[in-house]
Amino acid sequence: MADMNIIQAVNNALSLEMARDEKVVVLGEDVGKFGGVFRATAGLYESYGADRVIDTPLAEGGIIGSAIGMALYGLRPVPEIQFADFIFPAFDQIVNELAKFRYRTGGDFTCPVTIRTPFGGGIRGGLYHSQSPEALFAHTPGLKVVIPSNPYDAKGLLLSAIRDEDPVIFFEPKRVYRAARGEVPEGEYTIPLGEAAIVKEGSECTVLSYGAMLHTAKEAADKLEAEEGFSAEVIDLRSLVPLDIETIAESVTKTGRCVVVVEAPRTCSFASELVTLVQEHCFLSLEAPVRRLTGFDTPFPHTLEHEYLPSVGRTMTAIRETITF
Amino acid sequence: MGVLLSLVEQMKDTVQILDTASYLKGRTVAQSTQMKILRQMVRMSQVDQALRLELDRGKLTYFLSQAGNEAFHVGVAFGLKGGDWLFPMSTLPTRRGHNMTADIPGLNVVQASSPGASRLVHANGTAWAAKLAGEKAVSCVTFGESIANQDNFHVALNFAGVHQTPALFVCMTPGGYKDTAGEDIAGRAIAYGFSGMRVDGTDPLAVQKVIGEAARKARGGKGPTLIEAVWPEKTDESPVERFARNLKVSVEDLEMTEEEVEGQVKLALSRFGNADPKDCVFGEDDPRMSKGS
Repeated sequence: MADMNIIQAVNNALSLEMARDEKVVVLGEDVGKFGGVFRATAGLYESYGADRVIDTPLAEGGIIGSAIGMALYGLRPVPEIQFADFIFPAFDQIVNELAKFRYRTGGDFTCPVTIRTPFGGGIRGGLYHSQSPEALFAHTPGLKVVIPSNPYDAKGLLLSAIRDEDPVIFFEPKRVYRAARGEVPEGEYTIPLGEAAIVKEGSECTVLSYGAMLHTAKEAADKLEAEEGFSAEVIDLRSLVPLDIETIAESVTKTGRCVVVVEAPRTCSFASELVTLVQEHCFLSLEAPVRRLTGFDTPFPHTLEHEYLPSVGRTMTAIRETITF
Repeated sequence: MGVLLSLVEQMKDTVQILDTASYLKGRTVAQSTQMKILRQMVRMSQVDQALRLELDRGKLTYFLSQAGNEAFHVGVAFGLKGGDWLFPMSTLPTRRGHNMTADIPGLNVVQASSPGASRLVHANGTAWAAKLAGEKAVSCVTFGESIANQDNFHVALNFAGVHQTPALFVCMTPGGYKDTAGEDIAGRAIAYGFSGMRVDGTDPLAVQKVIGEAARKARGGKGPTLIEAVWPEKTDESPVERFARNLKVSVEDLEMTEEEVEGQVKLALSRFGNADPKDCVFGEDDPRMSKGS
């Protein structure tokens, strides 16, 4: 075991998989010699060379389109989109091509492409370095959407994603890239896509979250329990598609209440989908309305990011109000 | 500057073989190869006609005819080799490893999608992968001239130029359509650091020659080529008739029987007929079908 942060866990996973499978290639803007703006690919260029750790021209559609071609040829490309905010020039390639290749070729061709991209706010990145666009991709049939919240999961989920035969959008929570630390096995291991993790057990309310917000949700639940005696169960979804609805439904059926915490803008966020699924699966068990705690329907505000992001205090209020409804 | 001038010089002429003096003297392509190419053009033309009929009868919901483009598509396919990759334009019926214009064993044919220009980037991707793997496969993508307006045209050619991939970008500019993308598409290759060529799109031997030369160059590590197939002055003679006249053979003698055409149409239509859409979204069961609903 080693003590790692998320960046180190991602880097370690990439390095192990490149050593294990020579078909794995990394490509993107400054991922080679420079090692990536967040250092996620540091050292890979030196270990695996310019033919497998590829600095591309600065054009996201070109990066993803090339990765699609490479995947058709038989490689396993792991393109990096430097910030999730920059993924939109590649949106056509992802939604119209990557997501549909298996479907429109009747299974002749698959695209085992894993797109890594840091997402979310809280790093003073302003409106073009802070967005959370995961719902747009979860909405697109043919894409898997995976979001780790800690180093152990980041490594195990990334290895599963790269080995998956279908395209995966792997969102990395950049606010906790270095803040979230933990013990990580140095060898390889995988975590299946589509299995949520119960990170804190509780009896009165289920709190659903993922990515950086999971830490806020967990802190709020711990504080409520210590200070006010409310018992909330916190579930880390880890994967939005496939979604572990069984674990969610079992928990909400037990607690009778549910609060969803995400930082994306409110309307049509993945929280909306979760609220719908919970009422579809658990209607007769519900003791209170299912609550959405989200960002606001504005562009991500530079100067007000701490007001914009669901805080520990706001999360505590949402859970408390749901339990005492 | 010297390199640029020589590239410009090279692009002045439109490559033609049929109806030229050297062709008429029998100094070009072997007769047996020519007959193979003509037979494929006739087959393509017959299947195209049958599919148009299916469309008229309401049995097909969508089909864009390629009548008049037989020389282009067949010429392209015959210029490639087994192991190469072909991304034919959206209008051509295709199946993996086999398309309606050529039976080239091991040719990887990728079914087209509607967003026309994104395929140019994919073709560059397979070419790039072949180069990274140290393999000799080239990738060839065909597209209509309107695609040269799209951002992905630039993206694909720029990536190809920067990384000198074994990619062939083959544009079809039929007469009367020249204006939407402006003049001289082949000439744009210079801006991306590789050469462009112009060829008569109704002359299958010329198309095959140009594709073959560009493919050889790509295989030799000398990078991509942009090829523009242009249509000469409009005549009443179809490319199939033109080639048959040059070869002094009768088109009728080469035609498939009605049963054979029917068989080809059935083959083309059978591809997606019975597939359950939800089985094709992901490799295993669609996670949203099994878990999320």
